Amino acid sequence: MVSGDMEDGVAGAMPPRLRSGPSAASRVADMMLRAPQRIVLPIVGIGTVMLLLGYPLLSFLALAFFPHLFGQTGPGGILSLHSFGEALGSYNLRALLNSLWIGAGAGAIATTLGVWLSWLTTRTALPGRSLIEGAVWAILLLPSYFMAVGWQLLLAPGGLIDVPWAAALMVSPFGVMFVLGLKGIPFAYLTLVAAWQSLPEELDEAGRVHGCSARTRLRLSLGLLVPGLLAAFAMVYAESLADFGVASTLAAGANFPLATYAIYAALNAMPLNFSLAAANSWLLLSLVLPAVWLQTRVNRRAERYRVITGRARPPRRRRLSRPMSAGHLGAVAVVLILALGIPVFAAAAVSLVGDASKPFTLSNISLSHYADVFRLPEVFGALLYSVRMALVAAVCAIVLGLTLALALMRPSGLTRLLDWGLLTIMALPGLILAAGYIFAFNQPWLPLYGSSVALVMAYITGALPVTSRMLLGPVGQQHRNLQEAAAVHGLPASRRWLHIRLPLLATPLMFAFLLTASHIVFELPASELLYPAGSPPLAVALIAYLHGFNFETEAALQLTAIALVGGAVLVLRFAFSRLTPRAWQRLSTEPMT
Amino acid sequence: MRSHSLIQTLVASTAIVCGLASAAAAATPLVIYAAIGYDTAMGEAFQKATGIPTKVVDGSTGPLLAKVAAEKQNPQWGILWVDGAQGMRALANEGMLKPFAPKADWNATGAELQPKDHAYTATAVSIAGAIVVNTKKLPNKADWPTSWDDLTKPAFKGKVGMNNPAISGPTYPMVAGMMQWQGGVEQGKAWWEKMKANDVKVFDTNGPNLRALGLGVTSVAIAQDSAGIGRKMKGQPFAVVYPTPVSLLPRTIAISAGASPEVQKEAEQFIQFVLSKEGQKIAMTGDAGGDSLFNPLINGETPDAHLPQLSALKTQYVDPMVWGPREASVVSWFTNHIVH
Repeated sequence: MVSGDMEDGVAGAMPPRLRSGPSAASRVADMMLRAPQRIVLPIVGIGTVMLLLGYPLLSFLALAFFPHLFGQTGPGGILSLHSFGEALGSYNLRALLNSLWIGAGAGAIATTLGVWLSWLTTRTALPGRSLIEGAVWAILLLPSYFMAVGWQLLLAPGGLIDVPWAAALMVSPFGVMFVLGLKGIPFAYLTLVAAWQSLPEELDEAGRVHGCSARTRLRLSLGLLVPGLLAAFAMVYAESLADFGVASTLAAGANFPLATYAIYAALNAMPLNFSLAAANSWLLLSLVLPAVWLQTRVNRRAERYRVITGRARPPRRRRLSRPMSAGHLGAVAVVLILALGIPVFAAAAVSLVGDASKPFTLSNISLSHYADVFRLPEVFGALLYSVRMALVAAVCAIVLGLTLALALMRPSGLTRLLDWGLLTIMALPGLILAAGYIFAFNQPWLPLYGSSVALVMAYITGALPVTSRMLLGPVGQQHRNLQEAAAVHGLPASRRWLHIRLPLLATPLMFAFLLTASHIVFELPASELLYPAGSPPLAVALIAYLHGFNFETEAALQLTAIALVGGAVLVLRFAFSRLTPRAWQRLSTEPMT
Repeated sequence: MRSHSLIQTLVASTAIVCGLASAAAAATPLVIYAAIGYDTAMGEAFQKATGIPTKVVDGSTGPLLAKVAAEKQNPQWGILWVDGAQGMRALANEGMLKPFAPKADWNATGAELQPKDHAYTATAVSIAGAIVVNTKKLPNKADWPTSWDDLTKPAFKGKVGMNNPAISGPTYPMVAGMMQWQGGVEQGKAWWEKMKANDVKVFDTNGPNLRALGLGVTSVAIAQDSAGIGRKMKGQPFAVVYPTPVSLLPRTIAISAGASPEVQKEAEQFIQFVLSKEGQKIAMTGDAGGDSLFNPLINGETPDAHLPQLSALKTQYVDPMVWGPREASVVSWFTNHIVH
C-alpha cells in the first residue's frame, strides 16, 4: 500500500528539466506514476474505512428501522419504528436518562478539576507540578474499568472493607459519576492547558495596573477560557456517555443501568434483540454527537478568537505563598489518591489476601493468587491471547494509519471523506462499533464473527484515528525536497523509504505502536462482544472474575497485566534507544520538539 | 551438497504428502455450544472414543442462546446442550433444530420428558430452583423459609439472591414455574413484583449467586438444587430446602439444522455417546459437586446419594410447548421490572 507513495516520489520529485524528454510515452508513464498518491491511496483508505466502519455501522444502525434486514425476525413490518418504542420503554429509557445526567455530572467534575490542575501547571511555580502531568497521563492510559473495579474491590459486598456508608456512597450512581469524572480529568486537563497557554498574561497585568480586583481579574480570565471550558466539558460528557468500562462494572454492580450496558444486554442475553440494540444506539448517538459537534465547533471558533500578541514570552509563573502551596498540594494529593491511589491500593491488597473468607491481616498475606495467574492456563491464557491480538492489531493499525496519513497529506474531496470517517470512529462509542461487527460480519457472505479476525478488525478500527493522527504530523514534516534530492541521485524507492523516510518516522512509529498495543491489551467493549467462543481476552476475563465475586484472581491478573505491559513498554523503549542507529532517534525527535 | 538437497526435497515432499493425507482423513470438527459442567470432559471422551475432533464452547445458557440467535444466518455450532427445554422449543419453532430420536432405555421420567417431535433430547433432570440457606447467617432452623411466599416476608427483605433468567439456564424455568403455580403470567408477575418490593438481589448465574450467599451478602438464595448441594458437599455452610412445588429442569441437547450432513451425523453419534453407559459415567463424575448431581433418565443408572428422591418432592413440569414461546417476553419483562 505504501508503494504507491514511493512510486509517486520518482515522478513527482523530478524537476521537469531533468526528465529525459517530454515524449508522450513518458508523460503517460509520469501520469501513471503520479496517480497512486492522488487517487489510489485515498481510494485504498476509503475502501478500508468503508469495510471497517461504513458497512458494519450502517447495516447495524439500519436495523432500527428495518427489523427484518438480512433475515432477522422481529415484530413490525419491513419499515417499522417498533424498536424505538421498545427503546423508549422503561428499562432502556431509564438507562439512557441515567447516562445523560451522569455524563453531565462527570463533565462538571472533570472540568472543574481540570481547570484548577491546568492552572497549577501552567501559571504557578508550585513545587512538584510535573507530578500532576505524569498522573494525568497515568489516568488517561489506564482503562476506565480499572478505577471502577478498584472501588468495587474495596467497598462492594465481599470486598476488602465493610463500611456500609462508604459502600452506599461509592457503589451507587454518585460513585459512577464520580469515577467517570475522575477518569475524565485528562481530557479536560489537556484541553485547558492549551487554553491557559493561549491566554496572554498581559491581560491580567493590565487588569492589575488599572486596579481591578482579583475577583474581576479572575472573572475576565475565566471569560476568555469559556471556549476551552465548553470544549473540555463536551469532551468529558461524550466520553462518559460512550464509556462501557464503568457501565459494566461499578454501575452494573450497583444495579444502575447506563445506555451502553443496555445495548450490551440486548445483544448478549436472552432474548437477543438486534433492532432494539440498534435503536438504543441511535438514541445514545443522539446524545453523544451534539457534544462532539460542539467541541469541534468551539475548537474551530477558538482559533478565530485566539488572542495574538507580538510578544512570544511564556506567561510568568506565580509564586504561591507557603500555606497556599501546601493547600494546593494537599488537594492535589487527595485527587490523586481518589483517582489512582485507592484503585491501585485496593487491587494490590485484595490480590494479596490469602484466604478470602478471613479479614486482611499480616498473617493472611499470600502470593498464591499471583501464582495462580501463571499456573492456571485459563487465567494466563486470557492475558496471552490479548497480548497476541494487540501485537497483530497494533502492527496493522500502524501500517494502515501510515497509509491514511499519507493519503490525508493531499487535501481533496476523497480525503475529506476519509477525514470524516476517522472523526466518526473517534466519536463513536466502541460498543456500538462492536455491535455493528456482530451483525455485519455474521452473514453467509462474510462469516468472520466468532473468529479472532473480526476482533482484530475491530481493534484496528478503534485504533486508526489515533495512529493516523499521530503519524500525520511527522509525515507532514518530511519535506518533499528530501525525496526529490534522493530521486535525483538515483536512489530506488525502496532505499529511499529505508534510508530516508523510515528513519525520520522511526520514533513516532514506535510511540504510536506502543500506545496502540498497550491500549488494545486492555480493550473492553469490542472484546466483550466479539471474542471467539472459548478464548476470552484479558478484559473479558477480568470482568467475569469480578462478577463471579472472584476478586482475588481479578486483582492479581489485573496488576500482573499492568506490570507486564508497563515493563514491556519500558524494555521496548530501551531496546529502541539502544538498537536503532543513534541518528534515527535524533532525526526523528528533532522536528517534533 | 547434492545429497543434502535431495534429502531436503524428500523431507519436504513427505511432509506435504502427510499433511495432505491427514487433512483429507480428518473429519470436520464437531462444535458443541454447551452450558453443562461436564461438557468439556464429555467432549474429550467422545473425541477419544470416536476420533471425531470435538470443540466445546462452554458458556452460560443465555449468552449461548443469544449467540445461536446471532449466528442464525451463519450457524457455527453442531450441537447445543443447555439446561431447560424452553429455549430449545423456541429454536425448534424457528426450524433451527434437526429432529433426532436416539436409541435409549428411558426410565419413566425420561420417557415423559422427551418431546414428541424429537426436536431435542432430554439427557438428565434436576430441580430448576430450590432455596439454599446460609446456615451460619440463619443458625436457627425455625428462621429458614419453608415456602416460596416466605421469601416475600419482611424477614428476608434484601436477603434473597437469585439468578438472572436472561443469562442463567435454570432460571427461566424457575421463573416460569412460579408463574404457572400462581395461575398464569399476570398472577406470576404480581408475585415477582412482591419479590422486587422485598428487594430481591439478582446475580448472573448460580456461581455468583451462591458466592454471595457464602459471603453473607444474602442469607438465602433461589438456585438450581445441584449447585447448592454441591457447595454444601464442598464444605459451605449451606442447606437446601425444597418448597412446594419445585419445577423439573430437563437438561436438553439438540442438533443444528444448519450444520452439514456430515456434522449432523457426528452430532447424532455424540448424543448417543452421552446416553451410553460410558457417557453416563462421565456425566456422573465429570463435574463432581456441580452439574454431575442430576437424576438420570436411563434405566439402571442411579443418582448421587446426596440428591433427594424425586418421588419425595412435590414437582411440577413447566411445559415447553406453552412456556417456550413466552420466554422472550417473560424474560424481557423480568429484565425491565425485577432485575433493574
